[in-house]
Amino acid sequence: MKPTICTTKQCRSGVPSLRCLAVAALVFAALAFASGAFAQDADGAQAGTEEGAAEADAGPSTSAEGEAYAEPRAEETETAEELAGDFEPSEESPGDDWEDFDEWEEEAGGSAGPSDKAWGFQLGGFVEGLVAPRVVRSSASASEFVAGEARFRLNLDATHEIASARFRGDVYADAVDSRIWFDIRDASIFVRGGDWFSMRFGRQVLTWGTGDFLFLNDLFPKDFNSFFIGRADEYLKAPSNSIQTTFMMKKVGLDLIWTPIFEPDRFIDGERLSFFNPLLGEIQGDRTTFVDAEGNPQPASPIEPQFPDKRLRNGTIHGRLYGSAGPVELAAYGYAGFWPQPTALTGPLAPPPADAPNLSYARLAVYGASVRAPLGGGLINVEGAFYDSFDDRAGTDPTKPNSQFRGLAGYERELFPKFQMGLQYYLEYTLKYDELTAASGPGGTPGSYWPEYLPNRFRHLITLRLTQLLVMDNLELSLFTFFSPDELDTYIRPRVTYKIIEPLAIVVGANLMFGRYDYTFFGQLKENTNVYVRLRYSF
Amino acid sequence: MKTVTKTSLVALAAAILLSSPSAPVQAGDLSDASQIVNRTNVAQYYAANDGRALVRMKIVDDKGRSQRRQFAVLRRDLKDGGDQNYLVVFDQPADVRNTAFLVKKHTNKDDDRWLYLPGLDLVKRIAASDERTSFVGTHFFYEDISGRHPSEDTHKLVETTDTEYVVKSTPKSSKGVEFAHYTVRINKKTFLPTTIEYVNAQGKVYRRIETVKVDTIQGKPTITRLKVSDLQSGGYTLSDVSNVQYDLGIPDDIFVEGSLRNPPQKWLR
Repeated sequence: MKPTICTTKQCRSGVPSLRCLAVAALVFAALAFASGAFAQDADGAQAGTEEGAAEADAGPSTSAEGEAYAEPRAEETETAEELAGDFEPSEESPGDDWEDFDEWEEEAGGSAGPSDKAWGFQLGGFVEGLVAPRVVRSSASASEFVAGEARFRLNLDATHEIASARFRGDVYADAVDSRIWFDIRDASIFVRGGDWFSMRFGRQVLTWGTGDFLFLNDLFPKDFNSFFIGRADEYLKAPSNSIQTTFMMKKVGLDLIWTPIFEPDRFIDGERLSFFNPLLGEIQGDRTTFVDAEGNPQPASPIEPQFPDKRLRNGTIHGRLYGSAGPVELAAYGYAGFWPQPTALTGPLAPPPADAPNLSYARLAVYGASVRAPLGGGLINVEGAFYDSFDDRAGTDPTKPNSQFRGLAGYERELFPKFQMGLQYYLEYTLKYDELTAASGPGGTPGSYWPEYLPNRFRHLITLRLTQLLVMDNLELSLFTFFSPDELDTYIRPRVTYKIIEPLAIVVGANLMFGRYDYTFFGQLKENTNVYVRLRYSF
Repeated sequence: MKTVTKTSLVALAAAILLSSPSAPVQAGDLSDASQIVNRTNVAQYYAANDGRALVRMKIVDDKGRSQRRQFAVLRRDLKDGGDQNYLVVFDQPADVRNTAFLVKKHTNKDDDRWLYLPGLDLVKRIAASDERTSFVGTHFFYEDISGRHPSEDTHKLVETTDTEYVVKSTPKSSKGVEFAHYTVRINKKTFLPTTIEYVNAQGKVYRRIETVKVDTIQGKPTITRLKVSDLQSGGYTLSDVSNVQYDLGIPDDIFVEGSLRNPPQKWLR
């Protein structure tokens, strides 16, 4: 993850678990206090309702109550009274319940609904505490926690008929790396130019494609650190500074997005979460060191890749053409830019530890398409994408990733009331695979420096999602599982979400990574296996 | 002149035919239960050709704890009693603000539904789901919001009072329904339901929907306050509809994916 304001690394080493616990305790205490206050409110409400019920039990409603129901409001027209005369209001509803709506109306103010003002304003956000300890021993990472943070989110919206402005900003105290972070997730302006054209420019989060936690044609930046440490799902997507233009022509839409300065993934760099570094041949965390050319040990984390120069030609372009034929949705996608993660090497090519080569981003173009349609009471989706790694189409350059074909087929449906199942099959086919392993490169080297750690020519992945809603949708049990039958690794995401009382929700979950080998996609993350608790107060 | 006479004669004949002499029914009363139910369906769910409303709901559970929902709705009918498009944009509770639903309601097949999750900027298509499960955590079911198609039940007119028709509806198939039958009391003038009671296999009323307030908006009687009660748990939900406006001329092309991401303020405000 690239810091948004902090660039110094004064607190990188050390064991921050105590601080982590202190901050977490503080957040939980504050939220527990808030929850207590709300529980009291709820008791009050309960008492109120009981009173209402008692009144109702005492006998049939009085005529006064009946009149209250039929009392005409200012907006009613001439025949309302005539109708009200025919209409017999229910006798059981506690009358005072409805008064809430009138108070509510005042509270809502200009935030929503009807308004004579040209602009509407909204303010919201949340306060959240998250603690996620590792539950397995990690030799590579110093911290016993993958997350311990207190977060404040502010949402601001200003909307107008033809334009709107949006702000989503986070500030959080992070005990794992002992820093305060500012992360602006959205600061954008939307303009509507008639029925056929609109534009959003500024910092924004972007998503498209049909996969569930699998992204083929979506090359917008992602934050894999957040995904594996128990932050809310929305943090899987990272923002970018982009200009989005949308053209609507009858049933067909065209989105063109330009990100002038390439925005890579917030990838796992060893500092917070450990991963398998094929250059070192081992799992790399914040304790991992390598010996430099002078024979001195140097910290290997975080990975600091070389960015493409900030020139316009190094921006990225994302396009999508979409429409529907009856219930069938079709889309075609295109992308020109870079691989979102630093998978290329520059600088000295001699394998480490003698000298660490620089990691960098190779150029990439992606072309793909997707179909989504209802089938048998559920939904089916098929998506394909060709990853054209055009700096190494021959597959012989060991410093560049090879081209790939990626395919996805998914099906989801409700099996029982409020019980959803989603199943996906994903395939990654690496082209010119023989060139990666055979001695075909310059000087008779193979097309890869680490052929033994490469994924298979065909990498298969199966995902299963199960979601059950209970207690009037206030309790959600969710399980998402990734499993690769050829890499023999798995990632299990169980999660329980409970809305304790309206603005307060608790989430308890786990990120469980297993793998036979250290170098597979999920297997490399096994030392990060964690459980987490998250408490959120929304306003 | 000739046509007018002819029309009047037909009307007169129809009136005579309809007023069956054996029942104490007023002139103009309907006796065909299906006809009544179809008119009710249109009166309740298809008023005008399009409309806008702000809906607020208060959910009170069996322990007396309450929650709120607030959302704006845009609706456009493709055909009265037939397909409809809905756009629903949530404002409360705070954690789902700006979440939006796009529903293309079909009468002869499953509805098409999309959900927009603003945090991820994700437009998610949703698989067809059980229509008789909670609508966004309220005591209303999806079917109460979008309407149960009259052809799914057989209807019997059991009573005609001075002001109401009482219709008993029995599902043609018990698949996907939790009731044995339900009884609807329908206002004769407005054709809006005043009470719906759902009866289980044991013959017990376990669920009730009551119309608490009807307003006439642009000449169209409109239910503006409803209460649904779960008589088994004691929980209930109150629904209040305001800011209703009909025949705004909402175009069909706003019911698209782009409107989930950027709701059409022109029609919502």
